[in-house]
Amino acid sequence: MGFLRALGRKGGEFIVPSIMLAYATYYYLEVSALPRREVNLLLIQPVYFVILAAFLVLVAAYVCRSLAGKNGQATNGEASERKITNKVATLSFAVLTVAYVYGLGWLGFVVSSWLYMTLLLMFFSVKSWLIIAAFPAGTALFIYLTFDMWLSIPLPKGILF
Amino acid sequence: MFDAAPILEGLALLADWKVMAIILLGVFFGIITGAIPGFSTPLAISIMLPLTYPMSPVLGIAFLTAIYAGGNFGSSISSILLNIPGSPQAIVTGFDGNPMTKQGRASEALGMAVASSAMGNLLGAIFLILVMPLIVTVALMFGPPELFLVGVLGLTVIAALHNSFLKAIIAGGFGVLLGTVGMTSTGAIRGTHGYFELMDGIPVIPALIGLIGFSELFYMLQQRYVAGGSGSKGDSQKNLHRLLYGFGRVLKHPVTVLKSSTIGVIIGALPGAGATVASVVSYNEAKRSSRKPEEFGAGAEEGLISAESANNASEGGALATMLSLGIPGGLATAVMVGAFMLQGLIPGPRLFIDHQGLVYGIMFAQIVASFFLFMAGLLVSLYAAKVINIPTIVLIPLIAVFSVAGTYAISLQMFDVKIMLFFAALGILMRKYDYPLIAVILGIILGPILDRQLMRTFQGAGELSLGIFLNRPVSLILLCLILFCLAPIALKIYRNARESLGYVKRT
Repeated sequence: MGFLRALGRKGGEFIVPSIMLAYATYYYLEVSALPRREVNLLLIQPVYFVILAAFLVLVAAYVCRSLAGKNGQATNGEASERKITNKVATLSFAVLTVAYVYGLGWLGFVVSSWLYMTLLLMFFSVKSWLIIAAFPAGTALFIYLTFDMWLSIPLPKGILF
Repeated sequence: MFDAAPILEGLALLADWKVMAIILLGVFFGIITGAIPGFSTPLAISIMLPLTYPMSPVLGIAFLTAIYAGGNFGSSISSILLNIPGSPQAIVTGFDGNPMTKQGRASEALGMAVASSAMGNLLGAIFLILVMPLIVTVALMFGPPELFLVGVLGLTVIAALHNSFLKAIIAGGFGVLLGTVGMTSTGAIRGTHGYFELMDGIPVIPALIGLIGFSELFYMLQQRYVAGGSGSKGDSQKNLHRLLYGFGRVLKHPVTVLKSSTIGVIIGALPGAGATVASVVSYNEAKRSSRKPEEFGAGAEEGLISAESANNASEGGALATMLSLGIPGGLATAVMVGAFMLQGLIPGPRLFIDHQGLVYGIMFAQIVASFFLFMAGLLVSLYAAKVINIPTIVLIPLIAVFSVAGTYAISLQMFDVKIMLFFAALGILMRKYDYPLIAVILGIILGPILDRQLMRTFQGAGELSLGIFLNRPVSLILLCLILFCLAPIALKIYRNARESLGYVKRT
């Protein structure tokens, strides 16, 4: 029971492999249903079974470690050192980015980029009004001039510009 | 009999200030565009392709090869400074380049990257001139089974990417599956979910920018400056000193430079393999043969040098295959085939017979580009290094907008930008739970190579068995190489498992 409680607490560890395994299973089944199964699954089948086996071993290793009283897998690298602490700024960034991407087609690149950068700088508590006013406008204009005018790469046009 | 006339003719073509100026311009353009996330080398070359139409053949082709050389290095700048690779070939550079930035050694890392790139490019060009017929002969010995094994050799690096072998395997396998999405050579449509944009597969650059670049911004936001607590306020003179120090460090590793460049040229010559696979295989080999493999991934000089030398040297190999056989090894060389055709020239064996002087001119232009790459690289790096002194709250909006513009520019589709967002969300989750992002990207890059070549092997032999790989000499050598690369990893897993079992038994 102790291990189940630990699994519940540290269940997040399994979010990523579960997503990957779920996608792999769905994909494997989808391709299996296609005609000429043996050709289409040549690479997919062994890779899928490798993922499945690795997932099962990962869970088994976790259970063994939990039973032995050692909490979860030892982590290493960035995750242990770098955590998201500034939750308000992070959430603002995420929401504004999604809004920006979906607003690009409607407002156009220049206006939406200017708006996005201005709002981000304000949410990030940039104090200088000169930066807030000039930096987004300058950047949006620079990208527009470089991509659209010089390199002839048309950026999304919206209702305004 | 050795004929020096075409060589002299090639040199004479370069004795023109316009050729020198266009090479310098191309190198600068390549470096600057390469540093923008999403602005890949093939994109930079294709944008400049129409400009070469009124130019003479040597001027036009030298310009594009200079962009190629500059772009290969430029994409490493953002990888080293911000952990956001400009193009896939710079992913491996960031393995050790970015940790060096975080240790306050950004200028040193950039100096090493400039030197390795210039040397790799130079060695690639020398290889191109001296041993091109041999490279082509070797490349022709690579059929589908061999190319499949080259892909597997690239995959072996995934196993060594992370302390948790299982996490790396799951992430790498997931990446390989994503890499097989799209329409196959047999006409089957796999995993597109009705999106016609996915017919050609998952777009690699949007996935790369989202997974590695955009997700990094969320973590960058938690600190005031990119390199730890505060920006390093070194003046230009100090930065130049550190850049030159980094350059000097590369000279201390001549074997790594030579070995990585050789790997780069050979893999670059293989159609479809490209600079990314070259840098992965070279990095893996440098780590395997290093006296301090544990330092790889934490700012190892050899790691950065091996990746940069190989990805720049691969240009020489790719040009060899393109010039002599007319086969483009990747997107960049495919665009360059178009540039030749625009000039009324067809790359292939006839090119050597009909335009020997021009071919040598192009080869020598690459040598000139290597020297300009060194100078232009140092100059750009001197100013680029100052990026880490900008507070992250100002830097993040700037990178975000450039990433979106760069991603959109690849195929002028908002779908790519949405793919980037999807991978950014996945990247945040993977970072949180300590999964190797690079494994997914390598899987996406190598997946199509593995799938295509395995399918061709199957179609060619009518069945799939180990015998196909064992009965071909090059395959056998590659199989031995794979086992050689996997042996230390297997040993590590065995030791870890034994330690864990011992721990469980004791408790």
